[in-house]
Amino acid sequence: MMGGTGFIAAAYLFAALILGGYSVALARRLRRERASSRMRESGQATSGPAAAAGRADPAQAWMAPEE
Amino acid sequence: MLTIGPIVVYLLIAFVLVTLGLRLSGRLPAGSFGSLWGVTGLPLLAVGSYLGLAWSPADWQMGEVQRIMYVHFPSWVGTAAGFSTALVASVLYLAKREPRFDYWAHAGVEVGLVFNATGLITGSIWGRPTWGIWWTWDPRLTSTAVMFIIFVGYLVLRAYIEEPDTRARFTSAVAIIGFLNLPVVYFSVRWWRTLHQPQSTPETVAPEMVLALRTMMLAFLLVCGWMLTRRWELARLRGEAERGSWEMETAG
Repeated sequence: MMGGTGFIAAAYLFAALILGGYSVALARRLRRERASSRMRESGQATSGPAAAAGRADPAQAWMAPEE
Repeated sequence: MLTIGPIVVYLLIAFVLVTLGLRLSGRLPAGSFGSLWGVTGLPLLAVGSYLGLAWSPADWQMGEVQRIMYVHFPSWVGTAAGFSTALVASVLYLAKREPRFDYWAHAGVEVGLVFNATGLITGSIWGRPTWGIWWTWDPRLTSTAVMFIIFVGYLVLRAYIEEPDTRARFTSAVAIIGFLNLPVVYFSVRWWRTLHQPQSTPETVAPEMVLALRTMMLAFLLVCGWMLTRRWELARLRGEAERGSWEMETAG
């Protein structure tokens, strides 16, 4: 009935952009969250006034990757 | 290809079932499960694309443009997998009140929405050369759009409720109600007169088409599983930090 090569290319391109874009964004979000989590854990593992002064606020640390 | 292809597909289905069984029984960690599915799914996606775009024959009626099916239909496999995960996790959360189920539900909805968007867009592109229109308020298309909007609402609701347990409870209810639309989407082409064609069966299409479609369906399912485990880990890390800070705030 018709060739439709442009439509085929558009469909595959959009699918690749949506799925590929989401995968890349997800990997980046996860990498940042793992780093934040490690920071939180290292902050909680230490004790004393000096460590407390340098310890990140958990709420701030949690929100940081979103910004 | 037609001799060995179906055997490979059945072996892959066995791989999916075995790894899923191991994961659900707790013998395979979520990270390893996701990596296994991702490593298998990505090359399979390339093989499936080749089979669909170059190897399988064109449709006798629609011609070459029918090849969009190999990316359009598997998107619904990912959608169903994501939203089904959300349904099971939401029911389990309401029954057991364990945060890990809320994390799975959140992951299922977000990943399901990504595949849902892919299906809607590729369907619209396929509709233009075959029906002459990008969109119509046909029962199949409308019920699919409603499903998409309900689950977008789920994410909006999550953003508006601060207290983690209240949020998990409310959004679990939304996920369960939203999932009720999935059978409506599936059966809409049988229940009502629609422009969208009813489901084909393997007996009515060329065996090359069946192999290409099954390969792509498996590839999308495996990629969906990989995304789900990664999104679950993200939800867990954020959830644990958030619950910690929430407890500190309420205690202070």
